Amino acid sequence: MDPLIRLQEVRKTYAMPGGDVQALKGIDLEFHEGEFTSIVGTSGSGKSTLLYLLGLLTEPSDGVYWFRGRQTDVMDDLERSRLRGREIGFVFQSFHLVPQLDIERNVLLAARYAGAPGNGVPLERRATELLERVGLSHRFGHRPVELSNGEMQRVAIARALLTGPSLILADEPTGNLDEENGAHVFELLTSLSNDEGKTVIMVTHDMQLAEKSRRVVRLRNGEVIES
Amino acid sequence: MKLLVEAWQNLMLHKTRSGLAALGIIFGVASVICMLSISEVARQDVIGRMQRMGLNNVIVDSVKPERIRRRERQESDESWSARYGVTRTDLEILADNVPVVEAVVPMRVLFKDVVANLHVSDITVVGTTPGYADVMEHAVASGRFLSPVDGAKADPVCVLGHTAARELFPLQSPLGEVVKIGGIHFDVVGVMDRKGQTGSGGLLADPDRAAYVPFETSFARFGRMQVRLGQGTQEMTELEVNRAVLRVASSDQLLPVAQIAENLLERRHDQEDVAVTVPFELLSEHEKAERIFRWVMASLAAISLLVGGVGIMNIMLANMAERRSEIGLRRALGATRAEIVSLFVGESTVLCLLGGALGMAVGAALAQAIGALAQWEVVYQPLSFPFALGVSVLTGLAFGTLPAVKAARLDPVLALRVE
Ligand SMILES: Nc1ncnc2c1ncn2[C@@H]1O[C@H](COP(=O)(O)OP(=O)(O)OP(=O)(O)O)[C@@H](O)[C@H]1O
Ligand SMILES: [Mg+2]
Repeated sequence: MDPLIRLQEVRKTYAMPGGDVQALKGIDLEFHEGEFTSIVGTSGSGKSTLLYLLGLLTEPSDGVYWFRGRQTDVMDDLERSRLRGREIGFVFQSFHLVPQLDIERNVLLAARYAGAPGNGVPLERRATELLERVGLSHRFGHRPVELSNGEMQRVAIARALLTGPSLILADEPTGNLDEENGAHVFELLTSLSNDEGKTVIMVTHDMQLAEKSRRVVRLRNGEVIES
Repeated sequence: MKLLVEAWQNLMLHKTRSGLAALGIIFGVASVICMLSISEVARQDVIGRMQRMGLNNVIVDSVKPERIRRRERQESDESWSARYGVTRTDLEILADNVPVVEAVVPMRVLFKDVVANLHVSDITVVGTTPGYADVMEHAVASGRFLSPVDGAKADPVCVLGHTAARELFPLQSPLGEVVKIGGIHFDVVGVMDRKGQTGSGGLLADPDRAAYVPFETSFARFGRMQVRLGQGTQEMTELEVNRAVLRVASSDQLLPVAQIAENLLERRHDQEDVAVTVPFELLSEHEKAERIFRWVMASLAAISLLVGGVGIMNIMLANMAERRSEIGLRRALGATRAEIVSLFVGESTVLCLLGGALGMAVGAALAQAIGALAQWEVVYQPLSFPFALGVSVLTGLAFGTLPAVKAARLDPVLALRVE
């Protein structure tokens, strides 16, 4: 089966006043549909850079990135943005919820640009269903400030799922959570891959969680040293 | 449209900040609307007054020389007399020697009480000739105006202005009734139409509050002197004609006629006691001043909108900095750069639109308030409203674009990074 994602000789270089910073130095990787992968590595090894590159939020300086067989680096902003909105869901360490919106509207924001998934379920219902699914039905109408960190991260996961993406990218999703909440979020993410066949790629510093995942990619200094 | 609704919703999430941002635009637009209204009021007022003085007239006014004014102010225990101003001889000379003048109409103002059936009213008595009605374009409502026959016999007849008639005879028609002017009986032979204020330098500011008597009658019955009684003294001034109105056939003859009249009178008067004015000229002078005023207004408006716009831009930039993470998030959720631009431009446009609308309301209210205080009828420049709205939308677009483009250029990866 063709991989969902294929990277070939991907480099990312940042031009800095003190000289170029090579964040990624020639990455060759494949990720298959339904796979759960943890990316680990020391601070500054290029984990986030790789993740955002996979999420089409930043472009490689060199090399080729295929998503579902389509070469992404030749796409224009609109094509990349629509692909990102429909196919990719993000979960961040710091949640990035809009503080002025209640949790339902935070989830619904995901459809603002990508549109609704084509399964006929009304968006509002889908949003409440997703919030129920992450265990937040008792929090409807609340704003992010009224929630615990664990709850906020679960809102963010519901938001990432609204448009029915096939790829979930999570950058240290448990970084701001205590052990119990972290475990809960990790379980949610693994169930997405196990039960729904979504591809999940998670950057983490937590080696215990990483070891529980099926695949671990280890980076060092912008290079893959284990996959 | 959907964009504007979304922009409105976003603005409502930050009510205080949005309100503050719109404040500059509100004040800018309000001041423009208000000032345009005031200038329009002034313009219509001037035009109205000039038209009522007659645009095809040259006005020759008697001016009280400073010498006599000073004397009047002094408390003196001597009686004195003085004379100044346009005389009946002047009128004849003007009528005979100024070409293309169709009519010369004198106005002689008498300070006499006017009483009818015990009703006293604040009425100015004007001695004039039959030509007055035509020259001042003041029509008769009922009865007739003064006739040459009245003057020839120095008859005690009078014609009442609109307001004067109503106040002296609230219950009946004044025609055929008698009024007492300075103690002398006058028959009312006519009533004039409503005319409106002229405000022409204090002389007969309100033609509707006047009683017109034949010019000749005014001399025959009341004499040539105006007497002011002091403590045991008499101050007598002799003033034959307060104003002479020279009617010319067409407006391009106004200036030459005024010039000739001025030269003629200058030769006959060694003191500076006459003044020649051309209402038409005043009008065009006013229009010149008005044009300058408009430029000043326009620059003021531009400056205030510039300030308002810079305010909007500032707030939108601060807004953008504060919403970094939201911008990054929206990009992650699939927003293109163009969509980020339209998000912010939409917000600043809606802000300016609302600021403009509110500013128009505030400006209109302000103009009303000033109108109420100054007791004038408020007139708006109709075009000022769509103009103000258009300009505020343009301001929103112009000053909203820079912050919006900056927001769209933001690297989403940096925007999403926690500091
Ligand atoms: N926008 C940028 N401009 C310049 N250099 C950058 C930029 N983004 C990342 N880098 C550099 O690229 C390298 C990799 O950064 P990255 O954020 O991917 O590391 P990371 O593995 O996620 O680290 P951490 O575990 O601390 O999050 C670092 O040296 C970083 O300084
Ligand atoms: Mg990182």
